[in-house]
Parts: sequence; structure tokens; C-alpha cells
Amino acid sequence: MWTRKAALFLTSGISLVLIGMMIANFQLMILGIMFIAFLAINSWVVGHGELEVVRTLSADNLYKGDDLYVELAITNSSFRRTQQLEVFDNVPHEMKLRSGLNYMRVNLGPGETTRIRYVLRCPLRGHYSFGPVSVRYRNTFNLYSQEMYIDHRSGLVVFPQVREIEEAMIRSRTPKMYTGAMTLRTPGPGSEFYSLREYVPGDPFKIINWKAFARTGIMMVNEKCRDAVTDVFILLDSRDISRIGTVLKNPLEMGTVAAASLASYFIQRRDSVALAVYDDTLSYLPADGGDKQYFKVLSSLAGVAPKGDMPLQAVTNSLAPRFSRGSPVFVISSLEGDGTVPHAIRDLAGRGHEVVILSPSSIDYERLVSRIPRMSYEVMKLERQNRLSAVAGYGARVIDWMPDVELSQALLQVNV
Amino acid sequence: MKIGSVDIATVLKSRKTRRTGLMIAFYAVLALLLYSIVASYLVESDPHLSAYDDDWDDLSAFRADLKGMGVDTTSMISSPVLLGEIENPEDSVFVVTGVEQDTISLPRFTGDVDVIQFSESQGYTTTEIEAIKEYVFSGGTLIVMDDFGYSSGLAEEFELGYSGHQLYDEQAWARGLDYNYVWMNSSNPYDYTGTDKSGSHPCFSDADNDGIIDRLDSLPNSPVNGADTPTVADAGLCAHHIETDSTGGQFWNFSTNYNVLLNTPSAFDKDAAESNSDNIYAWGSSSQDSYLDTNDDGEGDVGFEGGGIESDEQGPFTMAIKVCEKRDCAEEPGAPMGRAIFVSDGSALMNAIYDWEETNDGSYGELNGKLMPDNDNRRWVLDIIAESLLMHTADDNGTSASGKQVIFDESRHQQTNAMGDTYNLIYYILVYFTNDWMAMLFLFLALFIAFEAVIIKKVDPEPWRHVFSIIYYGFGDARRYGYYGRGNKVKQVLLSRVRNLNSLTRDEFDALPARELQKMIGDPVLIKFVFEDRNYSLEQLVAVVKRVKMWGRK
Repeated sequence: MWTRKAALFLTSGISLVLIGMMIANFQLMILGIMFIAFLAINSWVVGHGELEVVRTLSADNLYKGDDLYVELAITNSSFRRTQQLEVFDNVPHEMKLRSGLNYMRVNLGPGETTRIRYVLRCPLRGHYSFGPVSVRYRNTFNLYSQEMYIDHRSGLVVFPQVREIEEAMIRSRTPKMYTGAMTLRTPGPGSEFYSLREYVPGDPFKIINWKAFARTGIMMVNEKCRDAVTDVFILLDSRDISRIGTVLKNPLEMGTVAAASLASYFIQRRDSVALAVYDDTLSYLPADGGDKQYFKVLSSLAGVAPKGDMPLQAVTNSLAPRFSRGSPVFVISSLEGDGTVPHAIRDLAGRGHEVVILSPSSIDYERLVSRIPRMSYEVMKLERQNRLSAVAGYGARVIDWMPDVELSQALLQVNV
Repeated sequence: MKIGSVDIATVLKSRKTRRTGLMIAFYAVLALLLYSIVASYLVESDPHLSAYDDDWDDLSAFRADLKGMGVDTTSMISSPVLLGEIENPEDSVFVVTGVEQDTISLPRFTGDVDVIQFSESQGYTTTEIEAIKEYVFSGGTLIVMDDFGYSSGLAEEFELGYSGHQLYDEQAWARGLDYNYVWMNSSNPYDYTGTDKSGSHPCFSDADNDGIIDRLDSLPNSPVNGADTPTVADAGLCAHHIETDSTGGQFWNFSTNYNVLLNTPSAFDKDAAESNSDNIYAWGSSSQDSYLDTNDDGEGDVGFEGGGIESDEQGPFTMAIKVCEKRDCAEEPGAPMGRAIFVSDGSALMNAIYDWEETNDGSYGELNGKLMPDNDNRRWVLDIIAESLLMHTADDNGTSASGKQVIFDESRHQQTNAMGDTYNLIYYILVYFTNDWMAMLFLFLALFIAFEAVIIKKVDPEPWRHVFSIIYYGFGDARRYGYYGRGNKVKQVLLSRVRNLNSLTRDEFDALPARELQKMIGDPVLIKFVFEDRNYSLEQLVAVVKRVKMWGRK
């Protein structure tokens, strides 16, 4: 591509030639021809983009708000110089450059390597892709430039933030039945001793109690108490309406933080956590425990986006067969625009589930971006209060979560 | 109609199809327009009256004669505007034969009260004509041979007018050929106003009457001369005067009578022909028996005018005219004088006539058993060339053609190769736009606009930088806020609150007697608000909402 300088050179050259002809001035004509010749000669001396690129990220996944260290190594794989080379690493716009630059101007010799290092802050959860790498090379006089892409990409998952809520969970009026892994007085896989029994073929050798065998002469094995876990169900509202507010502060964003924090808390307590995200469809992660499940939950939460308007009752009806008897259910929703909420909560409570509703106050999030007349705001708040009290009346514990309240503080407010 | 699952009618009516059709039609029309423009320049054609082609109707023999005499021959393929660049116009002759095509022209500055002239004559632009006139006034010689072509604009500048009709001659036509070949009588054309001026012609001047012209005579004032007739090599520009008699001996032809043969000639208008007082002299004419086919019917119907029928015009007609700057075209050595010779036929110099001997030998194709008659076209035109190039030089310069040139105007001839005309056009445009003031103004404006366009439109590649950008959403629906400010909505919210706090179902609440409801509400202001159907001002509503909020906390 010609640069503006080259275009001006060309038009100047042609103009000088023509004006020289007009006024029969050979000096002007020669000057014009020199301009054009300069362009022509320069068109032979161009750079190239034969590069090898390797990007290294400090992490494949991190939490929202964390810093990411990126290093891009560029090697000239050709036998000639690159001339003026611009390298730009395409970074998702949702990431903020903390230090360094994802851009460099170099003139690499044959086989030479250079590195770009920069640090990014990731203020938004999500699945992101780095790359491709944009390359632009120019000739020495900046008359021509050529752009190309090197299709080198790297993936990154930004998890929602996980808050510390243990103390809040202990002090709050949320159900205390989730005691984590507890021993049941029944034999089974576990950690605590339950009893001795005779060896039967198939028992592993490592559970043979050799002392008892020496003492009694009968092959005996140790039996353990079965560890029981609680299944915790988290229903996250990811409908389109949950985008109310700013991109950093909205019911869905706060909901993902809450879901991740709850999942973290319960999985650390060796409970099983199931996650259901409903937007235009229902995506369900079956109950399980451990680090793997924790990673799955965070990955799933990283990818949620506001869309659709699936009612809560459709979710509860669909998941009814999967709910463990008496298991607690956390519903994280603003409760806006869904007339089925009371019925869904009534059904859940009726089936013996302990239902906790964590409801980000969408009206107050809306105030962050929109100027609501005072009286309308008050009436809307009253209406929301009515809605929450109606739901509470069906047996749910409701938390009205205001934007400026921390999750741990909010969990202490089960008082509706 | 359907083909498979595709409904053809729907497809044809679809927006995409219509758009595609429109695009095709647009590009078809565009291509047609471009083709019609380009085709006129890409059509391969056989050129006529070109000095650089050797067909029977070209001028290669004339050009070869000039080169044989030592004259430089060049062509002008762009525009006669370049005549102004010639350093010694008096040593050059500009030959225009058959102006076959017009060219582009723009409005131009006149320099007088009209300021701008919008229409141009055909053939040559005014700028070109002025350049040609300037060339003639600078001492150059112009020879224009044309009949029905585009030379009228140029002729008008010299106060001449081509009739534009074919001339026939019932007596003086080439009987060995056909009536389209007509003889032009040019008896001593150097006798302009009754005085024979041929004595001053470089090829006729022989003061001592020894048969050797003064310029080649070592003793120009001595009738006794022992030298032989000059050789062709010595004779230079007068070499065509050396002829061979029946005995094989060479002699110098001093004849000033020319029988010039023309093919389908025209003639000059009688009202716009010679005028001795203006130094515009008849140079050749048709016979008394000639007539001009004024009504273009191909018939000789002179005198039968009437009843709406126009008759032809009776001769004689002037067929060649010489325009000189000076009286009797008296050019003195050292004082060059421009001259212009107009002939009303473009074919006077074409090979078939000019080189009649070779024509009869079949060099230019068969004549179907006919013979091209002996003519004086060669001697006639070469005398003009010699006069033009030698008259202003002194005798001691002899008849050498050194430094002399004849320029053929090829800018108005079709070119043989496909891109030749396109090249000519480009060259013409280049020359035209750097010589004509109006064109220069347009060119300057175009350059200015081009510069501006480059500065405005041509942008360098954007500098790359990372942009941190997250999109902010708002749930803003202003109409919704108005709805929540209405009295009925407030009333609805209050009633819902009453129902919730009293743990009533909707049915139970709907079935509630008014008295019970009033009792539940308890607050007289709110009871009045619920039961009285009246409009509330904003301030009143605000007060009610405050009470509703307080009511829930009781």
C-alpha cells in the first residue's frame, strides 16, 4: 500500500513534469522525473514479514482482576533484513494494559530475535483469545507499507472473583445443615475407623489388620465409616435482563461472583456442588466435588453471557428429578421480569428444599447508568419489596443484595 | 413455478435477485459505454494518405523522394501545437494531407470581448490553428491537401473555403482511367499578378541562360559554360528537374507548366477563394468544362435549376491556392516569408498518381488494364518544397537540403496498430493540456484537486495501539419511569403490600369486603387514596408514597 508520502511524491512528480511542460522549464520536469524515479527505485526496496512468533502467557486461566504477563518472541526467519517492521499483538479490548506495550518497531536482521513483554489486567471474566499478530513492514523512506497477520493464537479463561464467605456463612441465618463431609455410622469408603470384620476374597491387602490377625489367627480387615456429603444446587439467572447496570457491576456479574464463592466454599467443605445457568437455554453441571468440579464451575461461570428469558419455573421443573432430597438450593437472580418465581419457589420449598434467594437489586444497579426519577424509584423499590416478601412468604430465605454491599455482608442479611 | 423446493417466482422477486439484476444492468451499460469509446481507438484500420505507409493511397514515394534529396522527414503524431517548438520554421514544410478525424477540444480563452469560446471548428482546435498560423508567420511553409475532410477550420483562418462538393470535368479528366481523375491546370503558377516570378525560384533562376541554374552555376553570369548538366547528387532540392531526353541525354527542365492529376477532387468556394489584393493567389484551376456537384447527385446538371431542384455550379474553379505574406510571394534571401498552399484534393501526392511509372508497373496493385497517365505532380510539389526551403537562402548556399525538413501531420490519420491511436490520443492530450491556456487551467485545477484528494483521502495506515474498551449497558426505559409515577401504580403497589403482609392469596384479597380492607390499611390518608378516585398532584403523590413506605414498617 502506498503511504500518503508516496502519493504526494507521485502527484508532485506528475505535477512538476506537467507544469514544467506548461512553462517549458526543463529543470522542473527533471525534478518531477526525479520524484517519480525515486518512487520507482524505492518500490524495489521493501521489507518482508517472514517471521516466526511465539507467545507465552503467565497463566492459562486466572481470576478476574488479576494481572497477566505476556511475552511475544519474534524471529526473522528470512535471510534478509525486515526493514522497518511494526509488530502488534492483538489483545482483547476487555483487557487493560498495565505496563509495557503490545507493540514494537524493529528492524530485524536475518535470524535475529526480539521480545515484547507486557502486563495486562483482566477486569472482566470470560473466555478470551490472543492474536493473531499484526505485522506491518515499510521501506526505509516510509513510502510503501504492507500489512499481514501471523495466525498465532493463545487462549485464556478469566474466572469470576471468589470471595471469602466462610465467616459470613457461619454467622448468617443461612441453613447450617451443610456441614461438609461428615461421617455416617455406616460402613463405606471414608477416613474414620468403623469396625473389624473377617476378610472376604476380594478385599484389598492394605486394609488387612495384621495385628488382629496375629492376635486372633483369623484374617481380619478394617472397615471405615462412610463420609457423607451434601449436594448444593446453585441456580444462576443469566437472562438478558440480568445485564442491567454497568458492564462491571450488574446482577449477572455479581451473580457469577456469588456462585463462584459459594461453589468454592462448599467444595472446600467437601460437599458436592451442582450449577445450573439459565438464559435462553438451561446449562447444567451435575453435582460433584473436588478441584475438577471447582474448575468446571469456574469455567462455566466464566462463559456466561446475558441472553434469553427462560422462566425459573421451567428450570426447576426441568431439574426436579436431579435435585437430591432435601438439598439446599441457592437461586441467584434479580427476580425481575419473571412471573413464575413465586410458583417455582413454592414448588422447591414444598419438596423440602432449603431455598436461599440471593437477589441483586437490579433497580439500584440501574441507577448506576440511568437517572430514575425519585418517586418512580421509590415505587419500583416498593414493588420489589413486595416481590421479595411474596417469595419469602413461600418459604425461601431472601437476601436483597445492594450494589455497594459485599457478598459476605449480604449473606448476613437473611431477614426478609 | 417451482423447481424442486425452489420457487422461481419468489427467487426472481427477491431483493437479492433484483439487486443482482440491477448491478448486472449497470455494469453492462458501463461496459457498453466504455467499449463505444475505446472501440473508436482500437479499431484496426488501414490508414490513408500517410507518409509512413506504402499502399497505393499513401505518400511513401513522395517521402522517399524527399529523403533521396537529403531532406529530413519527420511526423507529428500528437498535435500541430508543437510547431511552435520548431527553431527554424523557414527551413521546414508542414504537410497536411487528408484530415481524417476530429479530436477532443475544450472551451478556450479568446483574449477579446468574448472571453471564452465554447465551440471549436472541426479538425483542428483553435489553439492548433493559431499554432499553425504562427508557424506560417514565422516563415514556415504549410501545404494542406484535403477535399471533404476536416480542414475547413484551418482554411477559414486563411480566408478560404472548401466547397465540400466533388468536382467533375467533362473535358479535362483522365480518359485512361475514369471521370473521378481530373486534371488541374497549373500553367506558370509563379505568375501571380501578371509578372512571371519564376525567375526568382531557386530551381528556375538561370540568369545567363546557359541551362544551368544560378545556384549550381560556377559562372552564373556567363552564358558560356563548359560544365555539364548538374548530376542528381549535386542538384539537391532541384534534382527533380533533371530529366532524360529520347537520346538518353540529361537536361534541365525549366518548364513552369504543370499538369496535375487529382482524384475525386473538390474545389474552393468562388466567394472564398483567391484574392490578389490579399496576397491569396490562385495556384491551379479546373477547366471551363468543369462543374461542381453542388446538389451532390453525381450528375452534371448545370443550369437546370427550378422547381426545388438545385443545379450544379459551372467551372472553372480554383483548386489550388497559395497564400503569401508578401506581394507576388516575393521572398528575399535572408528575409524568410511564410506561405500556405491549399489544394482541394488530398490525393495529389498519393503513390498511385505521384509515382505513376511504378503504378503502371504494378507496384501498387493492378489497375485493371488501365494506365496511370504521365503527370507533373512530382515536379509540381517538389518545386513548392524547393521554393519553400531555398528561397530565403542566398545563392551561394546552392540547393543543398542540409538542415531542411518536411513534417508530415500524422495526428489526424488512423494508425495501423491497435493501440497507435490511443497512444496518439494520449500524446495529443499531453501536448494540448500543456499548450492551451484553458486546458492548462483545467490541468492546473485537476492537479490541485488531485493534490487535495491525496491529502484528504490518502491516509497512512493507522498507528496500532491497544484500546481498552468495554461496552456499558443500561436498562433505561424512560417510559417505564413515567408509568411508575402514576397514582394507579402506587395504588397497586400499596394493595400488593397490604395483601402480602396479611398473608392473603389473590382470591382471598379480591373477596375481601371494603370495610375489612379499610381496617387492614388503617391509615385514613391511604384509605382515602385507595378508595377515592381522583387525580393527585406530584407533591401529593410523593407524600402518599412516603406514607406507603412507612405503613409497611408499622
